[in-house]
Amino acid sequence: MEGANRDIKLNITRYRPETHEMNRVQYVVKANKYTTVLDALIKVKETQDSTLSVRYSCRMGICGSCGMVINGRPRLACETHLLSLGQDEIYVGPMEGHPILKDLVVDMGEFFEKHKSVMPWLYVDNIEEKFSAKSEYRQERSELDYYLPFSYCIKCGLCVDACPVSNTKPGFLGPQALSQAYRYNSDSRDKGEKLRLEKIDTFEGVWGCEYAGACSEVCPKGVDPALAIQLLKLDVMKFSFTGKVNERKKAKF
Amino acid sequence: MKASKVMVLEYISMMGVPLLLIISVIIIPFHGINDIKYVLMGLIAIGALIYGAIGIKDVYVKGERIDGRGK
Repeated sequence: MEGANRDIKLNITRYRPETHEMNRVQYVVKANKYTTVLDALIKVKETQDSTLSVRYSCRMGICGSCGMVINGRPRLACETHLLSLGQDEIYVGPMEGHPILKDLVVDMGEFFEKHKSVMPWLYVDNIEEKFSAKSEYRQERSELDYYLPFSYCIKCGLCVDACPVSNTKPGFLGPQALSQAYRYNSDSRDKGEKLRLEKIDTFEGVWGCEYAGACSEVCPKGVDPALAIQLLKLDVMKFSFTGKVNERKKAKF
Repeated sequence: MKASKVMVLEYISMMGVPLLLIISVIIIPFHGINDIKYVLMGLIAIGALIYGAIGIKDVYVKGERIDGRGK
């Protein structure tokens, strides 16, 4: 029966910062085919244990707040239906690739610092043009295609949690920041390509990537950070030896 | 020094050493080109040393566990 409620055992890994203890607590929730893991967590918080901490906002896979590890895989809780996992016992834990604050809530501060460090905005070197542009920034469809697939990133942090390099080497910029560096480098309106390429030409930047591909596997938005990083490696190599940036970036304005 | 300068050495030795090894095997039956064989062997040795040195660097730079985060 499609709409029937089923009892699902929800095993939640909980972390208490005051005692630095981590343990697993089991709750039983009723679920139908529409129930997401986030729905179940909210239900647990409302009816069984109000001390459970979980971060969420939009509930529709846009804000990227509810990233967590569900059955051993980093996923968005709002996009994961309980019954689609095909088990009566579900394991939910925090993303351990980020510092854990409490229960399922992690500290994204370092993640956003790394994101900011690659200048994730359209860089304009001409101050006059920056504040009083004389014309529109026009783009051809083909120019849009270069960066559009990488602009769907919602900064959920799942790729960083899945990345084996990020988990063992905290200095590594990570798949999210590097894919965003590629996204802005590929934008024909941007002028900051050289600055970004110089910044990421380090062993903790683009060369830290071991191409495990886990980032692309777990991305809920279909962004392919692993591809972006390999393309960045080519751009970095080309810039390092010829001083030229990618030819595809031809500003039309 | 930019990391890309080290990485290009790694890529050259990664591709070059096996290539030179194959060439050195092919020229075994040809006598009278010992000088070329010695040069090839020298290049293979240098390439292997560079690749090994970069490999050791990888172990220490990429492989170490730093527990400064997420304790």
